[in-house]
Amino acid sequence: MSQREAATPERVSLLGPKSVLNGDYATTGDLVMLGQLDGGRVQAANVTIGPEAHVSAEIHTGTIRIEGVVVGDIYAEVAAILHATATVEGSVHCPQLTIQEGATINGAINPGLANGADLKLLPHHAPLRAARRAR
Amino acid sequence: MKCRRNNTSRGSGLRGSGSAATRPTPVSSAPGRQEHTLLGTAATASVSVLRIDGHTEGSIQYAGAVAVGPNGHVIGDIYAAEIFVEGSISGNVCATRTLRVAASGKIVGDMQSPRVAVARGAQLHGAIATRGGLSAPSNLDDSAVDALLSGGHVA
Repeated sequence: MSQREAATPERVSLLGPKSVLNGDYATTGDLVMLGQLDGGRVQAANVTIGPEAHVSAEIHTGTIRIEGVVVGDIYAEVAAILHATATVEGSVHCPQLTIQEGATINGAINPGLANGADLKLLPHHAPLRAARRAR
Repeated sequence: MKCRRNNTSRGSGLRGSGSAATRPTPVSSAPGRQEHTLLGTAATASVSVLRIDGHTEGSIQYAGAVAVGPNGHVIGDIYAAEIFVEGSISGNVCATRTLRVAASGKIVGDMQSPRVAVARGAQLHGAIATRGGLSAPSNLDDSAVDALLSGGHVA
């Protein structure tokens, strides 16, 4: 993993609670989503999904913290944290997973890794186009 | 994902006699020594707590709580009201109430439970579902499980 940039307020992108975004979203900084996002792909250094947020997208990131609803696969290079209020419909790919009791999950955890294969994730800092090419 | 019980050879293996099932397998004290517990396929029991600290092969169907200790290794499916995993499980895990996986826990198989808690560091490989109706084991003792959940003493 590349050296992480320090998370500062200037580097945090915010999708407000009343906001609706349709499409892909990519940033090299952190992303906090409190509203609704319907898209194909979200990419950010770290992602936080608020309790009222609803995200339908594939998410590529370093660390993801989920309190709301995510419909789509999650690729976390560092860790995924699902709070008790979280709902995830999709597979979760991550080396470290934390689930608080009460979270709702319907999907696979690290599918295809039962034989000890290495976790292969796109670097969360890669630009969106490069990541798309690699896909 | 559907939870199926394997009842093909219910007569063999552990039955709900009580004392044999509640007696914990001793944790390996000497290094290099490995404890083995043979429950047989589709073992069934009707007591409330089963702790596994050794190597166990065969499916386990249990009315109460199953705890797999840090040195425990289960090869086979586990069906129980509550499952707490500190060791490793190779097989499907189906808890009708809660599934808790400690940081040292490892599960290779599908998981199903209405409530799932996973500590950071736990290794999970398989599908996980917190939805779907689950039928409790037929001999589930609700009061004993409730006492266990609240930290009380189970008679």
